Amino acid sequence: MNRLRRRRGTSVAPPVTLPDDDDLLSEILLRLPPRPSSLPRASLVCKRWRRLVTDPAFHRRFRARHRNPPLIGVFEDYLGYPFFRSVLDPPDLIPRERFRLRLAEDEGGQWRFYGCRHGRVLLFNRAKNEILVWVPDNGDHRRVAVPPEIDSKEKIIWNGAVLSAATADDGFSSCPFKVVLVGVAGNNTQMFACVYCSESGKWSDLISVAAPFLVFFFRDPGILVGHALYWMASGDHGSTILQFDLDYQTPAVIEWPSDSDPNCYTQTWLTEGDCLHVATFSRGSLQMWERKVCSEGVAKWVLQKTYELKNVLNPEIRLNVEYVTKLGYAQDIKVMFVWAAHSVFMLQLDSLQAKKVWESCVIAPIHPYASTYVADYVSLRMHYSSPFIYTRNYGLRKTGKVSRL
Amino acid sequence: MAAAAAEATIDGGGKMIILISADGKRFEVTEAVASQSQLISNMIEDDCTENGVRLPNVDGDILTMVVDYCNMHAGDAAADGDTTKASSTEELKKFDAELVQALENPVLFKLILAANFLNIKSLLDMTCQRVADMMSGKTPEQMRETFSIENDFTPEEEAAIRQENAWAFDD
Repeated sequence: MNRLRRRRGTSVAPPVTLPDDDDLLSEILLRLPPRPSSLPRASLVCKRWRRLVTDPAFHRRFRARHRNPPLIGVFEDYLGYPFFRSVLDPPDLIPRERFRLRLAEDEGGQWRFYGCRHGRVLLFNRAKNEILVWVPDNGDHRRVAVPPEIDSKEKIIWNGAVLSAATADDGFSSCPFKVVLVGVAGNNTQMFACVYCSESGKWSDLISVAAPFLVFFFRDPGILVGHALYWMASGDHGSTILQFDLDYQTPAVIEWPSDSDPNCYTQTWLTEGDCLHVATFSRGSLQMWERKVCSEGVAKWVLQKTYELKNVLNPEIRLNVEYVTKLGYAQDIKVMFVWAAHSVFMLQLDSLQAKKVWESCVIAPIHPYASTYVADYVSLRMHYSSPFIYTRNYGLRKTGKVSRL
Repeated sequence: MAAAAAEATIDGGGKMIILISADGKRFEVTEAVASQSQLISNMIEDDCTENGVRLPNVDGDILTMVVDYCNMHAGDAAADGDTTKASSTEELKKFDAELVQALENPVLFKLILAANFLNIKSLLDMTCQRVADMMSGKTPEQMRETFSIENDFTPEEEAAIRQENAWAFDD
């Protein structure tokens, strides 16, 4: 026994350090949680750790390992100016300036914010008939002119979505992307879609479908369910849903739940599940609808649940339930951003728990932004032959020069 | 290692292999247990395990833990479609959780080295994750202290690094 104890003692005696092996250390550091502060903090421990966690190849592996990036903040859309706002507490609270889209002087307020997905942001400039695809994490951006036949008179773009065309090794931001724009044509009797593919650099033809009634606009960002995008379209007879199948590039019309509140002030969300869901939110009650295929093969809407919000919400917003206004929806985590009582709340759809995130007197659309953010490392680049290029200045020059994504 | 491991289990799960630690301790295990190590699985394929497998990098204490781990997980690798697997999966999770939680730094680091040397992917993953969890939420100073790491930055370098992502150090 004594011998064993002594042996154990001597085997433990050498310095108690982490494995002296870059590959093993990288394996450990890769498993840090995808919180924004993880890598910057590790980079300050010692020179070796810094060399490992600032290596771009490590960043690719880190993003690939964390394929479900956390919600790190939102972009608030103030009259065409997107402002970042973190939803996390320190030390993961990334300041607004870090994700600032610098616009040319004559472009302020012209960009419509169509949404974020897969690490990219899509904006549209009606005056210039251009889209802008921006990667806030690294500042890359690409401007693309929309097809000239979309003249903003007979054919008007109302919304759009950006998505990765494939899953890249490093998550999303380096792989090709697609943009789908949707709008109305033919004096509001047609809905159309067209698709841009970054690999070919080309737009598809416009693909149209007859609207069930006069459709005026697509207000909310689209959602991605399986291999299709969905938008709610509003018109003179209420709402309808435009489905765009990404595999076959075909649009289709799905009727809105006919029994839902036709009040034009109805707050609505399309939510994801195994199949298409719709949540309608009006007059203090939340209704959850599911699109079900019945035995004859016909799909119809089934009302799953109705919640009287004054009974289920936490007291902070319960009193103001009549005035709750939708600001945005984080599809992946089923969180609604709502405004009530001069504050913005995150409302978890599954649990109906609301959390106040900040106070605000401004009611502005919110676009949730999820990312495995690896931060910037501009000083003390060690052991790399190529000089580091400071990339944070991603101003959009007036020349409209297109940077490579 | 799935194909090699499964084959060994089906064809010769009963055949025993002797593992010999750095300090001469001997462990007799089945091929199914041993071949969770990709290193040993390759040696089995190459037919060079007859005189025992010497592991000069692995202490007896650590090898005891590795063998325990492989014993627990041997059924896991082999028993696809086994109806009893659901409950054993729960047991395995509990076993793994208790194993890593109980580990102190020196043993944990040695187990990482052993898992890496023996090429046991799941054990390497679990132990590396445990170290990463210990880093999580700590300040750089706390991480240096936890892992006995010397700060080799000059004060100027440290200030510059803090400056570039100042928000990440805002506790």
